[in-house]
Formats: sequence, structure tokens, C-alpha cells
Amino acid sequence: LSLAAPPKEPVLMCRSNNYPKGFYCSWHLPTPTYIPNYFNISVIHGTKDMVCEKDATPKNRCHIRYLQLFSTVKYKVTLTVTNALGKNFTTLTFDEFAIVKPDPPESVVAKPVPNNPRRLEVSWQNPSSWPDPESFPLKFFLRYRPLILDQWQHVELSDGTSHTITDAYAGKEYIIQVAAKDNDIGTWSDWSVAVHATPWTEEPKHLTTEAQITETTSASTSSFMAPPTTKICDKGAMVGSGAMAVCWTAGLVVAAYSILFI
Amino acid sequence: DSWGIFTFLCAALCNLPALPALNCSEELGAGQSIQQTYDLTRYLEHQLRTLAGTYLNYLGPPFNEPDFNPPRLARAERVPSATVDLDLWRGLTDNARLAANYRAYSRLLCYLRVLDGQVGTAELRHRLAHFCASLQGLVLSIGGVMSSLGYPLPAGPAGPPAPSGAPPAPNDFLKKMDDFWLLKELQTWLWRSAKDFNRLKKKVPPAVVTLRLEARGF
Repeated sequence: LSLAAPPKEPVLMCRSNNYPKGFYCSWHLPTPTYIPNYFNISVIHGTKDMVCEKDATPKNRCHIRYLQLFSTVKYKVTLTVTNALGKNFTTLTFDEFAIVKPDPPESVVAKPVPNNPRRLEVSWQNPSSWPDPESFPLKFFLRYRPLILDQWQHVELSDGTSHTITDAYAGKEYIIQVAAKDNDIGTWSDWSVAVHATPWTEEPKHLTTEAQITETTSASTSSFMAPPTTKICDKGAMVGSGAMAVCWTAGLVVAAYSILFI
Repeated sequence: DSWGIFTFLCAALCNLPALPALNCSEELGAGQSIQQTYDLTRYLEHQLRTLAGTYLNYLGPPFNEPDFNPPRLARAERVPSATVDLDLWRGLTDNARLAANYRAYSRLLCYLRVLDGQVGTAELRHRLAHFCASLQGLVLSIGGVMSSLGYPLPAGPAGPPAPSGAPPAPNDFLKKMDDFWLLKELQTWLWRSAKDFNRLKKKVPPAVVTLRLEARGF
């Protein structure tokens, strides 16, 4: 049996992920009251009262359009929550620039680079919520590490939406993330969705070694045991369309050895 | 007559920003100058953070409180405000954009120099002097960009800032308020300038620099 309660001080957050269009505020109660609550939000800019338009979804969120840019006067947001048993409120005061935080970069893709066992090519896109990257460019922060290690490596990039990692450990699977920030103001976005990638690895050398071992261990009969080519080609670590080409090359090498022993 | 002294001080100190553009910025080309000006605004913004912190502490509470959000008093605007309607800002011509920055920083420099003569502690005087020197560099840099693009420099504040300029504050608290708003305007202008110069960077292609280098037989 839960007891109805008056509201505790609500939690309020305001953020501009679409600078310079405007900002949004979202809120929630830290503990449930078990009865309906009514929220009222007011925004004051200097002497002006502004209307924060409630969003359909998610609930408990509203947005405001900036009328002016580069304001010296702070914004004061007050959230009041009321229910049958009581009332509570909280206030946030901030400068236009302080709440700028973009959404994370989108469509992060990481690919191995053919014939380069220590490289990974990473590319991404500006968050779609950022309205004007031409006039308000974003800078990016890339972090990457092999799955087997805990230490991240970081690169900060002041322009462009791609980067080539050149110091990856050969053959190791990597986890990669990107974050964004307005070039001059505000804070970094959250990290993007993580992507995994393994640098290109060279297969044929491995296959030649196996063929030589089979040659020496088998009895000096006319029959020649073909090394298990299928097994090598099915190896999980192989990435990209290079795998098919390597399988064919392996087949040719085996054929060449077979001819030598007939 | 304190108003007369103020006027005289400004007239004496404000003739400096009206220097003609330096030859070296023309050689570099507009593209490079815009980048340098952008870098300067970022450097100044960084410097201002330290300076403002020290100065506001010197002024004491409530000026050094992070939530301090006073109403703008009905005293005449001394410095052109960085605040602007979004569409208006977007639509500014390169000339207008540069001129707005040039005028604002010339005025701000003037007021800061007056401040420099009045502050109490040696540390503050040192910091202010250093900042003023950097700000002077910014004004000259903007002037250089304007000249290399063929724009005339706006008439500098040769005399006291606008006849409608505010009379000196009648009491100590209001004087501190003036100082608070001066620093606020300066901070906002530096944030705005970063965006102004970003826009200008896009419009002046680096090809301008390349052409000049080729002309010199590189």
C-alpha cells in the first residue's frame, strides 16, 4: 500500500541541442507521489516573459525559440509542481551559451583499410538536430581502444567528419566512439553509439606454413593431403570482401603444390 | 568637474585604435587574417575569464556570485550590444559584420583603459594592461581584414564615446554595476565574434592566399 505524498523538489534540466534555434527543458520528480501532479513552467529573460511550448512527446518537456542571439542577460526558468497534498518548485538560471550541448554524432562507421594492418577508417555525420553546421561548426572527439585493453586513446578533430586511426594493434578488435561540441561554446555531447572493427589482416602467409607442415608429416606416397582450405577461409577474424580473394589464392597455392608432387 | 576629466581621458586614450591597417596583414591575404583574428578572439576570451574572475572578486559580492542576474538599469547604452536578431545577424554583409566588431571593440578598449586608471590593486592593473594590449591587437587585426577586403574603416572613437554616453555613476555601487556590465558585454562580444569570424572564414576562400604566394614566385 503506497501513501500519497506531496511533491518533492522537482529535477529540472535545460539544454540547447539545436543552437541557435532555441532550447528545451525537461523535468521529473525524484520520487513518486502516487497521485496526479501538475507542472507549470515559466521562463523569464530579463524583463520579458517567454512561453515554453509543451512538447507532445515526451511529456514533461517544453521548448523555446530564441528571439535574439548573443544575449548578455540570463534566462531564468522556474518549474512549479502541484498536487492535492502540496506544492514545490525549482529554478535554473543560465546564460545562452552555457547550455549548448549537441546530440551525439550519427551514423558512425569504422572500416578496415585493405593492405594496412594497423589502420582503421572512421567516418560519421553531424547530429541531425544541429540546424546550421555551416555557421556554427562542430568539433569532434574520437576515442578508441582494443576490446582487450581498458585504456582509451583520444583524438580531437577541429573539422571534417572522418579520421584514419594509424596505430591500431594488428588483428585486434576495436571499439570506437565519437562525441561532438560546438566549436566555441557549451559542452561535449554524450558519446555516440559504439562501433566495432578489426584492422585488415594478411591471410596467405598463414596458409603457406600449413601446406609445408602437411608435406613433411605425410608418408612419401603419391597421394597428397590437401590442407583444410575451407577451415582457414571460414575463420571468423576475416573481414570484408578480401576474404573471398584470399580463399581463391589459397586454393591456387594448394593446387600448385599438388602438381609438384604428382 | 569629473565628467570633464572622463571626457578628456577618453579623448586621449581613444585615438590609438584609429591607426591605419598594418602592411603585414595585406601580405598574408584576407583568408589568413580572418583565421588570425578568429584565433585572437578565442585567446582573448580565455584571457578574459581569468581577468573577469579577478575583477569581480575585487568588486566583491554580489558581483562575484555565479547566479548574479541584475536587471539592466535605465542608463544609456555605452557600448553597442552584441545581442542581435537571428535573421538580421545572418543577413549582415561582410562589411557590416566586420564594422560592427571593429566599432564594438574600439569602444570596449576605450572603456577598459579608463578602468585601468582607476583600479586599486597592482595585480589587477597588470592584468588589465595586458588585456588591453591584446584587445588593441584585435582591433588592429579586424582593421587589417577590412583593409585587405577593400572596406573603409569605420570612424574611430576620436572623441568621447557618443554624446548620449552615460554620465559617471553617482555612487560606488552603480559604478561597480557599470564595470560588471562592461565585462559582460565584452564576454558576449568575444563569443559572438567567434561566430562572426567563422562565417567570414567560409566566405573568403584560402585561394586568395595561394594567388598572392604565386605572384611572389613561390
